[in-house]
Amino acid sequence: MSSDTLTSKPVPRPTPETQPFWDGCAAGELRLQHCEDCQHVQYPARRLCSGCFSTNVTWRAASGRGIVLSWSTVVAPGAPGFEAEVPFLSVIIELAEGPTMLSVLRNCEADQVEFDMPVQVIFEQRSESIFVPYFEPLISDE
Amino acid sequence: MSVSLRGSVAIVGLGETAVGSLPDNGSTEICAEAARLALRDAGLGKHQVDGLITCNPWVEPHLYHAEMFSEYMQIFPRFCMTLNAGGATSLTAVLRAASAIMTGVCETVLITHGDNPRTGMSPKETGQKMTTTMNPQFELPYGIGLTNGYAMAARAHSHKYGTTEEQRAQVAVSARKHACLNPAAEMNKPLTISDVLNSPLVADPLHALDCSLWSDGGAALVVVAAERAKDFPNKPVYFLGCGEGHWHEHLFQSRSLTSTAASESGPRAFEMAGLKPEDMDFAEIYDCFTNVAIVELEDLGFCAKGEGGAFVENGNIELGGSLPINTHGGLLAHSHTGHPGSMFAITEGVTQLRGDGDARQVADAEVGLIHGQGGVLSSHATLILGTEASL
Repeated sequence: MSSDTLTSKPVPRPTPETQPFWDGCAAGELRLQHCEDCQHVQYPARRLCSGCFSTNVTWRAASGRGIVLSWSTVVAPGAPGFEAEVPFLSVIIELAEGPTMLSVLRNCEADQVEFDMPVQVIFEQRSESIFVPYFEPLISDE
Repeated sequence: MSVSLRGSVAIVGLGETAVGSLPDNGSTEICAEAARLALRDAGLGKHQVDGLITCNPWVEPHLYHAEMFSEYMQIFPRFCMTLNAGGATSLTAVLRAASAIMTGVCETVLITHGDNPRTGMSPKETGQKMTTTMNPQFELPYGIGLTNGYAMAARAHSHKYGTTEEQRAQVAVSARKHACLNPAAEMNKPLTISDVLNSPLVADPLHALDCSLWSDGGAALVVVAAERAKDFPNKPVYFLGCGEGHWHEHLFQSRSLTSTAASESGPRAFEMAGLKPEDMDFAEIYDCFTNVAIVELEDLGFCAKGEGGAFVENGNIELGGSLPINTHGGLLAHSHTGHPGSMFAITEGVTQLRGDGDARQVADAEVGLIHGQGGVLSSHATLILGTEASL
């Protein structure tokens, strides 16, 4: 665990290909890779477009919005550091740009979650430079 | 150029260790005991084995597991491999054994898988090892449990198709019914739907009794060319078809939360076998969680997509029903030994086709399907076996 860690939760270790994603999170922005050749949008980061294998892939800021595809309440965490937070809501999100992602839904009770519920990204700081993307119900649609 | 593997090889030996808590055994010892029993069943000496396929256990893993095991057994194969497709591993092993035999690489393949995750690891170690299957940057940081992945798939299936928790519970109840007929199964007391629904929610909507066991144990097979199959003491069981499908490793990258690559592995296996789902006399399918069995029944073509919930009702998946599944009790009630879990589905299929199922024998069983799933609905492999009459 690096010396600047602020938590006992796991701290993601960026690789060269994922560094721009984590840089975006630290700047309060969800960033996704877009293929300039076939327009495929992908998450997580890859060296090439997984749609057409083009290497002409660029990073763009995403809307940070998506919808809930499914959820489940976590009572037995799968990693250390979450004991004080249970129960919490695991979710699979479909981002507005297309890719699906695993995350945790905050600021929402279990009985308030609905299929296709709109959500927006928020971030939790784990270390000096690492911020993990979480989601909460979309409050404003402006 | 391709050569059909249909009817090309046969399973002529099987070995099963006890299952449950085996505190006096390491995973290598369990693997060795399963191998010894399978070779004894086939009437073979160890020097006749020239192909070896193992899988890495949770406890006592080795970077070169099959090589380690050949050293342990002092077997010196010319075909030696460690496989890892989670719960689909054992099925993929049979396909690779058939391929190796039919291309002349080797003649007699021993497939042996064993592990002791129940007594060989503390709950904390188990949790830590399980998390190694998660994506370290995009899953692990959320602290989500492995069961929650399956639970999210279950909830999505219910939403899309109306599958109920009673229908999921029925899968566990039917599995338990079969286990009660199998003295080798871990669980031997009947279960009711209300027992399942009253068990704690471990990852909603899944209850504790929607989840499989966690067991020590291992099993082994001996595979040879079909033309040699009658040279062995027991009734041979023939390879009729096998297919695989691999869509993802991590659930959030899956193409679907409600369909799986079983929809590809199944048709591939049926095509090779020249058979259809309705031709199957029984099926031993992967039931790590009750919802997984339901989605597999649909994806393998035993019922229309979305109708798996209704299919498991009214005794349809029990002995005497239209498609008895998991006649040994499955992962829910026989044992779940981790990566070797599907080996017991194969050995049960062979037992049924030999006609050795005793109280749980499927009447007139000639062809059966075995399906394994690894990861979180990730890797799928389907095997179709049959008697000589099915060739």
